[in-house]
Amino acid sequence: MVNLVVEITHPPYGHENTFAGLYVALTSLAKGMNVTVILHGDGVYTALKGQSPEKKINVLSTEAQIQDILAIGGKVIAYRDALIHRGIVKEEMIEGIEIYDSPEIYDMMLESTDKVIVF
Amino acid sequence: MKENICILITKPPHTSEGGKRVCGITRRARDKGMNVTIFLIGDGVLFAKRNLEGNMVITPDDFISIKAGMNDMLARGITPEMLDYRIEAVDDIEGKFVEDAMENSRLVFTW
Amino acid sequence: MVKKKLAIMLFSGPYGKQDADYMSRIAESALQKGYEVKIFLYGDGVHAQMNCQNPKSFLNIGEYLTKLADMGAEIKSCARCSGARGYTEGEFDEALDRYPSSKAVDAVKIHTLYSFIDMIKDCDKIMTFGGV
Repeated sequence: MVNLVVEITHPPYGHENTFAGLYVALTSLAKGMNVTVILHGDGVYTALKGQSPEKKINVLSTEAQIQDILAIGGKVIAYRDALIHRGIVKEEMIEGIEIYDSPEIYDMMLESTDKVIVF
Repeated sequence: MKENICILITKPPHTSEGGKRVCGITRRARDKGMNVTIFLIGDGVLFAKRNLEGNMVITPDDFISIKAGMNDMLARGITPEMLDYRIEAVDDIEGKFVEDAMENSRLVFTW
Repeated sequence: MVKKKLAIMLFSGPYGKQDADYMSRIAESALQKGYEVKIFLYGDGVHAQMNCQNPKSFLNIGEYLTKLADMGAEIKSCARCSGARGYTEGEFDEALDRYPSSKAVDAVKIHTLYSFIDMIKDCDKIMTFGGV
């Protein structure tokens, strides 16, 4: 089985990157790959819960994408440092997203990841 | 046999947290006894310039080798004399990167 | 001997950033070395497929993609992203295995995202350009 990491480095909505990356993650999961989404840098803003883009700015919700990814067996991880720098606490985050320290994420990528796609 | 990681850098060091992450992964790989080969192309050659700020410095050693694309360096006014002496300025950086990525490395990371 | 497979994603458009150049140079090198190369244009990367590009001071990416296809690369672009940007002109053509477009170079087939997922799954290595 392919172990795929999809890295999200942009906040949602201001760039297409986040939506596009999560779409790849979801579709890869549906096709039988083992997928971990890593939220890095500004990508951690994607972790905020309570997003309402459909109502407010007429775009599809990345929160819904994250929930779908979690529901079908994907893993979503956020860098602790990046969250702290941006003042995001666990209570503000979508349920199911895990917080890892940098060394743990590096170990996961170095030891058990086959392919990495960066958005 | 040691595992190899191959990293391609195309962005300048201080663009975003990406630079810090690449340095972190490199050091972690090294600490785990892996070999890391870093290829610098485009704006990535700016990582090779001497006197970078501390946490963006990746120092070549027995585990880490760094190659910078000569054409991209000279285009940006960076000559081999401006590099850390352990960083290699090379022609055909693309060919060397492809070969290392496809033949020698367990994981390829492009940034 | 089975050729090793390289998959490449391009996410940014040509000329505004140099990612399309890097991607093309690396793809060409891989083809010269005998690897199988599959390229997927995604997001603003689909603009690399535009026909009749005429840059005055830059490498012509449309022509470069055509050259890569002539060398054996398989190049596809995202139908959803292409449609959003005005490239697609009708429904998927089963016979031609592509969405029709008079605005894209022939070398690039506008296709579904599933074709990219297949590339990811089947390749030995994947490289991404323009996502950051």
